Amino acid sequence: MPDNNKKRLLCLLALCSIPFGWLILSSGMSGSVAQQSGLAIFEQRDFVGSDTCVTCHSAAGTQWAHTAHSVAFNSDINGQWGEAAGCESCHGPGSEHIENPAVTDSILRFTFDSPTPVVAQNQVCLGCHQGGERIHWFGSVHDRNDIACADCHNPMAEFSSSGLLARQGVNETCFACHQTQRAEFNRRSHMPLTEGNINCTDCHAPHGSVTSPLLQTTSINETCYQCHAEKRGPFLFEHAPVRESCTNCHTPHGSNHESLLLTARPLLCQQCHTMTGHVNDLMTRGNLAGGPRPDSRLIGRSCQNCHVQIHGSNHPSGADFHR
Amino acid sequence: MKPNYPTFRFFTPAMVAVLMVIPALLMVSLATAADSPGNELNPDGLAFETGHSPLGLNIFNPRNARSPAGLLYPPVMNSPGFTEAAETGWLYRGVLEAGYLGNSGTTDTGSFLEYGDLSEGFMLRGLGYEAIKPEEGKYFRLVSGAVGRDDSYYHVEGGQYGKMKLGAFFSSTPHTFSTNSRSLYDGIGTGVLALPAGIQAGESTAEDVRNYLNARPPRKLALQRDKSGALFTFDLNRQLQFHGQISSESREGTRAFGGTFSYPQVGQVIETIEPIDHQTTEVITGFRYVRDRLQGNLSYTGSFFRNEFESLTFENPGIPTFAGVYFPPQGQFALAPDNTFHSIRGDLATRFDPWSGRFNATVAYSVASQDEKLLPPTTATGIGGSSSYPVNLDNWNTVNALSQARADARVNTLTAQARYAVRPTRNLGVQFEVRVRDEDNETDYRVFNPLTGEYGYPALDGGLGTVKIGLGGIYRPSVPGSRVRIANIPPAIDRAHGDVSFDYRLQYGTRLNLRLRHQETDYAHRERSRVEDDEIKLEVANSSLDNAILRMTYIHVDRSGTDYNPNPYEQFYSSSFADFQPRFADGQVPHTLSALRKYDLADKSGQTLRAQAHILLSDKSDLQLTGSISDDDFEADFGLRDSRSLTLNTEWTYQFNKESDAFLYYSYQDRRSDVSNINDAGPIGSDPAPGGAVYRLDAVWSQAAKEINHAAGGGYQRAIGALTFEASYTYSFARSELGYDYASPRAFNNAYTQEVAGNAYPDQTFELHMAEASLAWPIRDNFTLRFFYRYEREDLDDFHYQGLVDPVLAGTIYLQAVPEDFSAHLLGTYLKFDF
Repeated sequence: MPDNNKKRLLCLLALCSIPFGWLILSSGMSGSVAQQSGLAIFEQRDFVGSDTCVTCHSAAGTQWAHTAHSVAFNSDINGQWGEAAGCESCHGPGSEHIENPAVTDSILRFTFDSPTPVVAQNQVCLGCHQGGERIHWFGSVHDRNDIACADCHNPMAEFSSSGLLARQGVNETCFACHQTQRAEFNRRSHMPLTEGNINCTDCHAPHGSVTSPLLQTTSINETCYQCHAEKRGPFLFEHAPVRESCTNCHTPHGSNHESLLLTARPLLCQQCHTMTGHVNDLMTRGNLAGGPRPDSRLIGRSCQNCHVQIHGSNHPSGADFHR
Repeated sequence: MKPNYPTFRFFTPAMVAVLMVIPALLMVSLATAADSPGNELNPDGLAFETGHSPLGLNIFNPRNARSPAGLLYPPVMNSPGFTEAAETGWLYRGVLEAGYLGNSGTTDTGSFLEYGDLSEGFMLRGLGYEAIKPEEGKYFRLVSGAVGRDDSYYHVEGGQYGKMKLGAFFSSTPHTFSTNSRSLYDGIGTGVLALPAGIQAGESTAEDVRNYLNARPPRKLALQRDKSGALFTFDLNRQLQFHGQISSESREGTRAFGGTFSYPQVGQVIETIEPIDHQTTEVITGFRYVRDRLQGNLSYTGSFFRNEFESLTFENPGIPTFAGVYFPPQGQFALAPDNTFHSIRGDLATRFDPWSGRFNATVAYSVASQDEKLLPPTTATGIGGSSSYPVNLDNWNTVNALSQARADARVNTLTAQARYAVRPTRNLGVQFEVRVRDEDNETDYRVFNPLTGEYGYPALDGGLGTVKIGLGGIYRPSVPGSRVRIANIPPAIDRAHGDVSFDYRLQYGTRLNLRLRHQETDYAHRERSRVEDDEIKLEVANSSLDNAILRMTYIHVDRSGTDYNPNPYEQFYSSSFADFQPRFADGQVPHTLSALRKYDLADKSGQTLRAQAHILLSDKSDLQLTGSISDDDFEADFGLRDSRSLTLNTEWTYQFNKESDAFLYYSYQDRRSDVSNINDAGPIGSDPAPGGAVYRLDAVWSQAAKEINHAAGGGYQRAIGALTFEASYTYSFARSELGYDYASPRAFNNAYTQEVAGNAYPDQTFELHMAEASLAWPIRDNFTLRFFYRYEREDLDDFHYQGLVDPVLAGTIYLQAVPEDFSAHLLGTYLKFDF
């Protein structure tokens, strides 16, 4: 490990020590959703029970009865919800709302016109769902942009087959905002996402991650190797930009070129390579299969007709990725 | 809840549980991990749901609510209710959907078959079963589809909320590359590709090979991917959860591969077929700890890749373009080696009261390694190379010719990150982030033959040295310019970034965010030892308007670094030896053009502007507009010089009522880039600079790439009495224009005239149309008849394959796996039974 990285790690450790000290100095472990979220709705009111709620909200009650939350809340297997089990676990005590049903803001709503800030709405969900896969939620790009749990999830009914998503599936949920990616996945070469074999969350962690593009792992390549483990090596002879990032040559959401390539070969390779020899010849129409001088550097697999093992070679004679 | 429809008592929870547990246990024994159900005809893996629920969600409002970000929630899906099993407390529901799928058109092309099994015949489209016991929080769920087909899936999960969960799955995915390839070889799908009886190495002519190939039937190149797995979570107490999953994925089949024994334009290049028999086993396990103020994860990930084929040997038909050229009898590839990956990771998050502080951190350490037995440098025998510099291949076709027997390759990576956020005032948030990633590549291989005491290897099994004497691959101290590889180059990257961001909430729902980031990347054995990126990101979001939410982001990136050394690799070549003689008195043939900049290391000035508007047109309707524009200038005279893109998206959504809705979308993207290079004049000097004898300015050329993409589509769903009608359409069009310019025909070695060369390749275009419709008709209380129709068409013109009708061109033998257009109809009739 170079010295400069040791310094960086020391800085990082020093930064880490601040909150631990703070944590030790601060005391108490508050537990309730009300205290965590600081929502007035959860305080100084009484629970009325879900049966009371569904006397008016019958459709919601019927739809909700099919959901995982319904089973979990109703069983209250760990006794954590008590008299709040059901609607009021999330929406808060309903006594004031019962007294004056026209005042809809007397219960917590997870909607656009809700007066409750998104961060407070999310805190209610995190009251049960914090940690685990959501351990990096705070400070993630979705959190910083005020994306609410209820933007992607809707636990009130079956909008999806699993995950209590707000749309039919994971991909539709993501495409609601990430529309460029939807277009890209309909291009000539694409991973089988629109065909249902993978989905966005196979690579991305929408609830927060240690990478800027919210990857499931700690790097781009590690994410790709989850499915393409044969590319992981490490190889005897490595192709440096491949080891650095698969996205130096591939665009993962879809491409107009073969194999998710960024651009057509041999141009892709010639962006970096001009070693003395055959590498830097301009290939033209004259080198197409129907041209007067057909050339394997342009036809079919182009450079990879010869440099077959471009992701790395484990052959003692494979320094140039031929073997 | 489900009305009291008549039900078949055979499907009691106990009976179904018995039926389901057996395959579930089998799947667990096969090992599994998280995977999502679905396939081409049912991408979301829906089992129970059909159409939209007439009940809706809110009796006080006929339309659905909007999410906190203003997005209209779609109509609620319609699904069967649960039936109570007598005196057990269990509620259950099940569906079984089966029927016939027919097709017509060009349904045998690789592009049509790419990722799905759309073959004609009976289809058990879906089987779903779900049981819940609300009083005890227990549940069981099975979802499967396309049972018995090549794109089938089976997911089973059960447990008790707050206590435990068990699950297992199996999914199958075909991946068809082509159905029209023609290969010369016998033994396809094995590790040895042998010439057929009718072809004699070195004696058969191109015409013989052509005739033989044209008489061969077309072959399908495809993989079958099967993945199975199991997972569990156990809540040891309210704070601590133990979880684990194991999966095993196999890939079997064949795919196109290359192969060469010579040099471009000299012949002896041949497309081969790689046998695929891969197995990857992944294990993930760990603990999750959750308290109000402190959460932690500790996990282990292990991934174990195994390849049944360590090598691929292919015989050389020996068709040289020029007479008298030596041809090696065979070559051998080292296929992907078995490899192993271990990673231990810890995550921690805390919150604390002063300034609403939040802190989270991660430390991960991973080891990727492989220790495959190395193959001999060649499998050829006898004397190869040129008459001037012959090579006795018998001294190289044994593992005794290696400096080490195994690869012993290993990369260790440490990743650490900390993020610390506070909110000193109600409106101001500050966040700090530091991340370090340190990579050590411990792979060390000397390209040395202890039998002969020589460095290097016989390049292309002795074939390359025949046609390019200087590229023979074996170091000859007495020969000036004998520059060969003497060791592997182990790349490694250490990267660290630190950033600070300020988030300020103005009045009227406006939020400003400013982030400053500095990143340093240290490279081992690259053209730059360090690259520094400085980024400024400014975001503005406004949600104060009643009918619109607006976001805008601007990013500016500046990259610089240490001096760019175009050739940092000499220590890995024989040119670093004391006894090395340069080709010329003033130095060696240049490694590369000194003015070219590789774009991942080049100086860069980049700007990106993104904007998003979500407009609430009415209670029933949404309009989304998003766009981005980016411009990266790589500040390079040669190499990738700049890259620009413009993206626009729009989507309109309309909800007629609880059961009917529609949407339309359109996306446009324009991407452009410019590249410049120089065709070298050959090994005639040592000057690496542009304008010198080697890189003459009259051989400068440039290429401009322009890609235009249009994507559009829409969907409509409505209830017509008891019927449910759904329709959708997807369109995608892309045109890639690649133009080029050149100072003179030297750019293409004067191989032909400028009239022949022209100034552009034929445009590469891709067009997709897919229209789909279905009609669901509940013919009885628990029987629904469904008709399904899809029309799909793809047209692709790719200049790489244009005119490729002759399998033997200029001494190169092609598979002729030319992408094929298709136009196909699918028609399905299914009967769905709810039980």
